[in-house]
Amino acid sequence: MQGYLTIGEEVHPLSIHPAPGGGYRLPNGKPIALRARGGRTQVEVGEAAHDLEIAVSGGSVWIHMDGRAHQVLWLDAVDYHAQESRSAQDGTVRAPMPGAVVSLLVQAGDTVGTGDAVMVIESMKLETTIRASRAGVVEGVLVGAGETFERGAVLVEIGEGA
Amino acid sequence: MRPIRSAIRTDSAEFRDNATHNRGLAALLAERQRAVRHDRPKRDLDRLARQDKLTLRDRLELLLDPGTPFLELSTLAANDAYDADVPGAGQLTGIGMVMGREVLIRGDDASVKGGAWYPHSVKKIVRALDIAIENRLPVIHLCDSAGGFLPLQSDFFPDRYHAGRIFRNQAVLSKMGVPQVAVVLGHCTAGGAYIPALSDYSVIVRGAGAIFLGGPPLVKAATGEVVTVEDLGGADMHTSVSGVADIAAASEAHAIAIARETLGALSTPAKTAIDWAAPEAPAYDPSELYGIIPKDSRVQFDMRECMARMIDGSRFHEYQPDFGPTLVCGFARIWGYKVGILANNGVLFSDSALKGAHFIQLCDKDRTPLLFLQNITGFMVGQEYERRGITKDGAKMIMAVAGASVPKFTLNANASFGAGTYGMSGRAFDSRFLFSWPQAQVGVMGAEQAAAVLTEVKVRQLAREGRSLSDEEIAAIRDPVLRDYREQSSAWHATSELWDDGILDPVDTRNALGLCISAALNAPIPETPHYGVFRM
Amino acid sequence: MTGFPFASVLVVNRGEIAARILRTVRGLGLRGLLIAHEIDGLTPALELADDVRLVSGTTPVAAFLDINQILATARAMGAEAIHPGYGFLSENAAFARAVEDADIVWIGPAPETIELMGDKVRARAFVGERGFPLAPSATEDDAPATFTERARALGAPLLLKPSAGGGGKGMRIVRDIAQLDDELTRARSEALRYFGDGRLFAERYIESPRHIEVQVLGDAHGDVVHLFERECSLQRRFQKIIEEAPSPALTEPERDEICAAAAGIARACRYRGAGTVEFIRDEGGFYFLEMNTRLQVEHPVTEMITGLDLVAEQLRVAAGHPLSFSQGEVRREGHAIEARIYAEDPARDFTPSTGPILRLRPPIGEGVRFDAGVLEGGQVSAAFDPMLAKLVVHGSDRAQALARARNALGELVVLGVTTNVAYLRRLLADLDVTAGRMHTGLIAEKPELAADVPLDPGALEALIAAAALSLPDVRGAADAIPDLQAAMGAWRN
Repeated sequence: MQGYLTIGEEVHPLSIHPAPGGGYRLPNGKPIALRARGGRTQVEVGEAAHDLEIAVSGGSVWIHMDGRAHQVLWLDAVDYHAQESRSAQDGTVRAPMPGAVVSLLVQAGDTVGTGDAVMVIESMKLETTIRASRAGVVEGVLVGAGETFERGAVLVEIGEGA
Repeated sequence: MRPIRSAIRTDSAEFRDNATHNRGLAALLAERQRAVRHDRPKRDLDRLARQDKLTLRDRLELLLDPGTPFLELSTLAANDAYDADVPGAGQLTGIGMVMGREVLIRGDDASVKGGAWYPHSVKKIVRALDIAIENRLPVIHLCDSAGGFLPLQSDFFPDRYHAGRIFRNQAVLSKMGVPQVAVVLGHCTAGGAYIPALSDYSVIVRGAGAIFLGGPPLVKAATGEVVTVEDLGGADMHTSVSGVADIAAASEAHAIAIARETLGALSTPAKTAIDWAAPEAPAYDPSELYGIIPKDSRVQFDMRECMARMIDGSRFHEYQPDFGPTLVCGFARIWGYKVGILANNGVLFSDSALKGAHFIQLCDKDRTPLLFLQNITGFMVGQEYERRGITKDGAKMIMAVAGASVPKFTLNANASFGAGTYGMSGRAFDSRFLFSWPQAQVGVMGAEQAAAVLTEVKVRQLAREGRSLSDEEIAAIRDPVLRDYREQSSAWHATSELWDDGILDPVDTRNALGLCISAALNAPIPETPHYGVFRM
Repeated sequence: MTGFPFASVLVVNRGEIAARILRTVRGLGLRGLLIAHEIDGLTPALELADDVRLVSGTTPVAAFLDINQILATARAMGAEAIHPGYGFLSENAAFARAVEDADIVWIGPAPETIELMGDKVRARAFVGERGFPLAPSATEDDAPATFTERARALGAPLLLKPSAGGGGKGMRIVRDIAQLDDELTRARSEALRYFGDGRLFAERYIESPRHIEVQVLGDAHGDVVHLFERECSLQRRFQKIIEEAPSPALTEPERDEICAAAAGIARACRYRGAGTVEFIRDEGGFYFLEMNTRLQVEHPVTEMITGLDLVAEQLRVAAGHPLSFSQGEVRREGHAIEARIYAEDPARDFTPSTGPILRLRPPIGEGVRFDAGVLEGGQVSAAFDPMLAKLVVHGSDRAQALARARNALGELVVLGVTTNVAYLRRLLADLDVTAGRMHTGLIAEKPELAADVPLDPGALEALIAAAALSLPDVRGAADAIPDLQAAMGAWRN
């Protein structure tokens, strides 16, 4: 298996096969190709063809097709399985969206229970309370009040505790 | 090269009878292989599920490059041993594609007696690693074994080609610079621990994989120490404290993905180049093979007809077509690769033996791999032939076979008896791969001949004592011999004992040979061939 | 009259509005100056500006609120006029005063007017005293001691708002009057946190109202005209998403009445420049909500139905010219719709999206206007609000405008960040919206519109194929398979 694509909420295992004599096929046998036609790009799947625009950045493929934009996330098999097993017991609390810290409710050394509020963040007129992903002792708060961060940034680390 | 012109009448009764018979054998082969691959007692499958383990077949599919072929070897090993209770000898071996490289894959089947090693299991593993050495194929080990099956240890431990040979072969592979990646998906206990230890790279699954010379029960019995599996030989300990394994993985899928990535990171040496042209499908339908192979194996058939259904475009350039006609020699292509074919159309005489020896040398100089299509009952016997030196002519052919430096491939297409087996590169002569067709037989002589000889010996012995035998008494001597010989010379028995690398459905032969030739080219062909002395 | 007493205009704003203002400034032959924050990188405004200076602050937003730094920059650039755009300092009376004190022309109403209308309480009092309609309310300042009781007396549902607030922040709806004390406490602490002022006022919450606002324009000589109304009922959590002109809800007499009221209010406070009077309308009538003393985000829909350039009008008024047309000469034609393009993910609770703009292809076509705040190759950061652009569409009638808007949204390509484009398209196809049956609670009633529409199998397959072929790793893995194995495919013996 080569890896996994995430489109919306769904994860799809991905592999493409080489077609005899060059070219590529989907596992179901349909030949596929990307063609440039007069400044536009087209994807052919078997008999069907769709106009589209594609932009690739890192592990994301952005595609605009049939009037809709999609972000297709690619994870190779190693990254996917490594991430898959990262359990909910993980004590890393990450930012669900980019924004700024409104207020910090804990500091290093505090004991927290699962679900306890650890900070309040704001992301353009939207305030969200960030909660502890597990019970334990706060090992570190990695952002200060007023600081901005990107989505996925580590905000708080919670350890096993004493 | 011009195509062979077939003389077969596909609408004849004989063709149809043969086809029915051979299709039946092919179906039987398919069913037996299916059962060996997939039928397991429910309790064994349940145990795998409880342990959160994938089946070996699932592991294989995760490992292989999608959309690529897999040639499984010795699928039916041990089918005629241990009351057929150890399917495939609890091992999977085969040649597949991982990250665009041909590799040899071998794995313990934990759903067969916990993956325990029986004598046939050890033989299968040793054979697989021999193939890896001869063809310079990287090896991926999927390790998940309960260890050796101790009640039979004298049949798999002490001898030269027993279990120790596995580790010796691993060391030789490493010395040759041929990489091995071990994926520890279950326990590697005692001897089994050396497989990852002797592999260049190893991945171990946290919570499931373990490597130790003695498991917790043995440790407790030996020293009284009480320790858990994880602490004694688990992933975290070995990848961070002892260094016995390289990377810990969170799941089986993760481990296999890491193994693939590891292999992909290694350099791929260039393959040996031989004469090659764009492949061409045979001009005749391969399924016609079912109608060509006689249902009675004593009936002669023209091997060229079989070849026409297996070689590119059915094209064949025959060598010395009018000399030594019982051995057909010539050049053909299989999946584009040029090969030199030697095929039996009758017993071997002096002229055919000499022709064979000569042709082998031609191919050797030409750097053309050799393909032996066996249908041989032996060399001709009789005073005239002995006086003409058939024995030394046969010896010359054997000398040429043994000395050939190009890769050799052998197919037992029907019969492989006596010295004919040797001259036609039988098991002892280091063909890179040797396969059988379902109806094929191998033995020192044919069953009827053996039964006749042994019966004759017994009759004469009793005659010296003054006794003569009735027909029933003769049958009583002859029939058991006949039955035993038939059993022991059948392809099913041969493959069970790993005297071949697997039984092929005739229509699969072309693909199998194509993959074998391609795999063989991972090893170099020595520059200058040389042989022992040809008794002239 | 066409001459300007200033040769340059400094735009103290960013994004699409900065570009839009600069376009008119330069079109009138004036020098366009700009302040910018480093984090915005290359933007359309930057490309249009004749000169630009970077500003900085403890946060990027703070940089645009730093009056001292901005004035110092203006002086250093030799700016002769300042246009504040919307948001930031556009309704900051102290800033307006400081600009004028620095002898720089302020493109906006007089500071006193900003102060008056900026204070919700004073504004309502001003408007109420002059006989314009107001929703029943209770103001804390009037008599703090009795505020809670007066609020309670209004009855549920009740809307609590910070007196010093704006832009929808800190507003709460109280549906259960028993919770009033609790809600008041929380509203106060929020008001304190957002605006530094805990005072509140309460008003009857009009269920399912329509948000109608009227564009007004006044000159320095006391003349005021209205430029018809806009409807902005499609809101999510008090933020406008789609606006249109004219409102499909009003009859001509109603239109005349509401627009006249707006003009009257503007006239009463001697409004100078472009402004907007916002009303809430239900079956009972319409009520003054607030007056915005700035150019609004959705001004383009008014421009498209009247054919006027409001920024040009602002500049002329600031130059001291009288209005060049009378109320009678203001004509409207057709229908215009604006959709705000945000970098957010509606399917995931409208979480803001950041990242590079890998591809930006604006829609083109008859009646289509696209005011972009970003360039292809630019970056969307979390520092500012996530509005990328405004799509504004004109049609001969509402149906045509809706159809053109849907088409244009389908043609618009934004790749690299998640946007609300598909959501906007679904909104504009919604039966209630197309029938004009809108109210400010409509979007909240239709949360299912925010969900991604599942893909049909053919489209999914095409996406997978396109993605696979675009990823070098995936293509490379298939390329690595030699011809022999490729030809045999997944053969097994």
